Amino acid sequence: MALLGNERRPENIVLGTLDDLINLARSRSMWPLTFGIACCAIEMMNSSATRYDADRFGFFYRNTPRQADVMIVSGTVNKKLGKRLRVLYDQMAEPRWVISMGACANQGGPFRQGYSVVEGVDKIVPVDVYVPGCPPRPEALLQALLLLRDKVADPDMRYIPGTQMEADFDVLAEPGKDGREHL
Amino acid sequence: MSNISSKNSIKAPSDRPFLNRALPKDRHFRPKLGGYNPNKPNLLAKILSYGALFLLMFSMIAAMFSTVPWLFRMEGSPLAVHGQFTVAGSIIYAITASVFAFLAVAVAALILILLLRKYLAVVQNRYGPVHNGPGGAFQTIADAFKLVSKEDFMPGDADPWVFTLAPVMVFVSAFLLMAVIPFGPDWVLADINVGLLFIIAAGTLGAYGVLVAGWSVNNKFSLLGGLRATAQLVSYEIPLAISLLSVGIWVGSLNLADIVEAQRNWWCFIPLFISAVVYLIASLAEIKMTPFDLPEAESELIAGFHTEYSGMRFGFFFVAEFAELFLLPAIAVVLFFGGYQQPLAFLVDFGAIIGSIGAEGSVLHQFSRLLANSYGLFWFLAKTAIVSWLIMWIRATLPRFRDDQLMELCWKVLIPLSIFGLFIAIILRLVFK
Amino acid sequence: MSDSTVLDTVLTNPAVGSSPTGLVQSRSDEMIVNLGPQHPATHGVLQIVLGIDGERVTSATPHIGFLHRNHEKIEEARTYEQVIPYLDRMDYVSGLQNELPYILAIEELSGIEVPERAKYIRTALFELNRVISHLVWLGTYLLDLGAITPFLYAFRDRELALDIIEKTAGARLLPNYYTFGGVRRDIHPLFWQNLGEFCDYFETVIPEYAALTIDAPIFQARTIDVGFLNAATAINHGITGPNLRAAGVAHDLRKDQPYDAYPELDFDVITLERGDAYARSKVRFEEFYQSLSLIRQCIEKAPRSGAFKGKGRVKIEEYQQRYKAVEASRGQLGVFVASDGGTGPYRSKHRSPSFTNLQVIPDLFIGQKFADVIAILGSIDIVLGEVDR
Repeated sequence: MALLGNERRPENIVLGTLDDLINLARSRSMWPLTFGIACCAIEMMNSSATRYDADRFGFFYRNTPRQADVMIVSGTVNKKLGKRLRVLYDQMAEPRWVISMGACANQGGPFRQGYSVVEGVDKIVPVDVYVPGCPPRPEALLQALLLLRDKVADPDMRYIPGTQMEADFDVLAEPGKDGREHL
Repeated sequence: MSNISSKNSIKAPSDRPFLNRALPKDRHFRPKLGGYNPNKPNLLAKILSYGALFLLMFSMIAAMFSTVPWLFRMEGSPLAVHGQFTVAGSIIYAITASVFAFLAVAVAALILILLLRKYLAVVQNRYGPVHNGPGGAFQTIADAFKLVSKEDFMPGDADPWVFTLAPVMVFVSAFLLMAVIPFGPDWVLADINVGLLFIIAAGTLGAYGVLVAGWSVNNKFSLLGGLRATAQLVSYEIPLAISLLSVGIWVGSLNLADIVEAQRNWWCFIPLFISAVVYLIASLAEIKMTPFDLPEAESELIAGFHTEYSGMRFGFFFVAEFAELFLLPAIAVVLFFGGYQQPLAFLVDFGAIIGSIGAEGSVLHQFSRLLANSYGLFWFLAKTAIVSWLIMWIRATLPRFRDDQLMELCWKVLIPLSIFGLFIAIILRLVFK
Repeated sequence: MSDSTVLDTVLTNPAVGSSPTGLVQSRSDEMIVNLGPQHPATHGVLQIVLGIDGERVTSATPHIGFLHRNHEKIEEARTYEQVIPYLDRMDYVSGLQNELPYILAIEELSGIEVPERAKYIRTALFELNRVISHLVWLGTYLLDLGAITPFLYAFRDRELALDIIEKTAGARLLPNYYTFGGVRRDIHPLFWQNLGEFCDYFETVIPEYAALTIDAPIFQARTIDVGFLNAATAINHGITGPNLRAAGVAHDLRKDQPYDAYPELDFDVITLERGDAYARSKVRFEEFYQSLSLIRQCIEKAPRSGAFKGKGRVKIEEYQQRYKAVEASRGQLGVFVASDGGTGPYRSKHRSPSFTNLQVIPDLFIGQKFADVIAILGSIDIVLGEVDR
């Protein structure tokens, strides 16, 4: 069966431990694609350099999209590049993830008013983690990579702080009312 | 550094009136502040961790050789009659030994992948993988699991049989070399009389796999990359083969166990220094390691031959390369650096001393042979580790050659040098023996 | 715009992303190779379509525009102050250098005086940015050629320089620190001391780089006699910077049209006669030493007390325009500012060195061996942010 990493599994499937193991392995060895576009690419290179080594966590940059798991979109995407970006995303083997790094990739950045700039790369590819900053510090990118790692290891995002709605209860529903016996 | 959620939105469990279950323990990874401190090397931890890997390799090979033949050859076994295998016995022995050998070399390759990343990190003044397992030891296991679980696709107009077969060919040819290497005085899987020729043949099969890999994806750039890779591999087979043969001539036998035995007094790299150097350089090209990694260098224009492979198909190429990184230095050690012999064996040979305790045929003798073989295996693995480290060091330092410079180096420099080494071997043999 | 509309436009509209010349015509014996926008070699998003005949390159067409971010159009809608952060993003490797020509132009037009101390601060940071820009060139060039370690050494030393910039200017990469009349904030108290320590450290490290690059046999084999650019071609195409100086022309705007504190500083203009990729690499190497010497002179001569920002507000009349150029790490970086009396520039055009340096690529590639293309491209040292603006 195909294990796609970023879907919520329906509640009537019981997951065995193998899924967790595979997700854990996938999260611990994510191979980013070297796809630096603009200024954020320099910070991405910095984050894999000596001081903020991303290889500590297993991130091993690969050159071809076929062998890469995560694409870090680092820089402004304009319409001319957007086409190529989508082709690259389609060439990546599933399971694949996208990190949108920097303000330009999140929502267009300082160049949002431009005629050729795509307002955010999530209009072209589905994004898993957004990193704010112009450019984000390498620590911010490392936090994003770790957050993605946690998300991959736990796709329902049960144990990542700040990602679950606090109110998974309904203030108005009390037991017995409206036909509901439970939360 | 800090939590993504602000302090306002997460409440402690006691503040939540309706959520009665406590949230599980925070498993979010928080990197330690402080970073790399070059003034505090933890030498003991390093020695222990590398020693643990060494011990793992050692124990796998030792276990393989000590248990499998013993099980098969002991008295009363249906598979062997008086120490000679029956037909069924030899088939089952071959299968079992192959499985063990495959596991040993696969473990060696996985360890070398990790060691390469750690060593590159040491050279580049950073940490390598540290967070997955103690000292990062499980990083390669995570990589392997991930590669296995990737989507398995094939480019649309690729030839499916050949696309599947190409990584297998490269993989098999890399692992075949294991069969003839003597790890200890009695420990060799296949003690054939033409071991050297077997090595040359098995190495050449890998070139064929690379060519086929480049052709099968129906991408003209991969085809060109595969052709260049094949040209490189096939060209560098020649100085490799000639330097191997010069050892054979000097020793007088093509059997690898005899070659190691003949190095009791002087290791072969002393009289055949040129052949040793040529072999080491040619083995760099066979492994496709920098400075000869043009085939897999996607930063050159033409895509490498394994660009279109993903998942475990790519994993095969990857593991095959590192298996060769283990096995070609192992062959160098066997041929040039004394194999399992300890250094200065002519002064005092502990292996021979240990191995001769006890009368022939007794249990004590078997145990002492086991000890002597383990002693030899220790030296073998240590020397292989040193030669592999040398190759990794070269990978970390040098840029790569252009393809015509590569060919020029092979045909104009290495082949004449290797022929010269062959002449030296012939002359030395005539003079000294 | 909804998500699907943008994606559809990007994917289906034939006008988006197509080459302006239409279908690439090729001769029958020529193979078209596409060095696409995604490189493992960190050039940035540049696409070069090569025609190869056997081993030789017969045609080369660079396709740019993948990073076109509408700098100039956006700046028309900003005030003079608001333009400065956009300038950093052009040559993002050396952020502060891009701000200087625009600021000099506006200062001249408005008559703002720059105090002495501010001039030395700006010059010291300008040269420090040259150092870090050449470090990035070194790391990425050697990564193209296959050596993985100098990349990390270069970025390690870059971290030290970025620390200095961050302590003073507030941000590592794109600091937005220069302003009209000087700099925005006063420097960190340890600024000059840190610069001195960095210079001392870096001078001990340059021989290591030289041993890995300039003096290394494989690097020399890959770059000597590769990609000849002679002086006539360079001048005809408008090449500036280390590429021009490696072709034999001693043209350096810091000497010819000095600005900031350069009239009081003394340095050599490194010129080599060869014009191949090795000469360009060697010029950049020697510029390390020159930059360090310039920084040291700034440390000595800079007044330790005084204003960091001149008084004066930006007031530019209608129809006033000015072109001002500086010697950035890649060549002549210039800005043309035209005003219509309003709060912002009516037109600000940027003359970027990488854009003009890129034009010489067909001349450099054609006739060369196909495997040398990467070596030549890296030695020209382009940054796509300022090519596409």
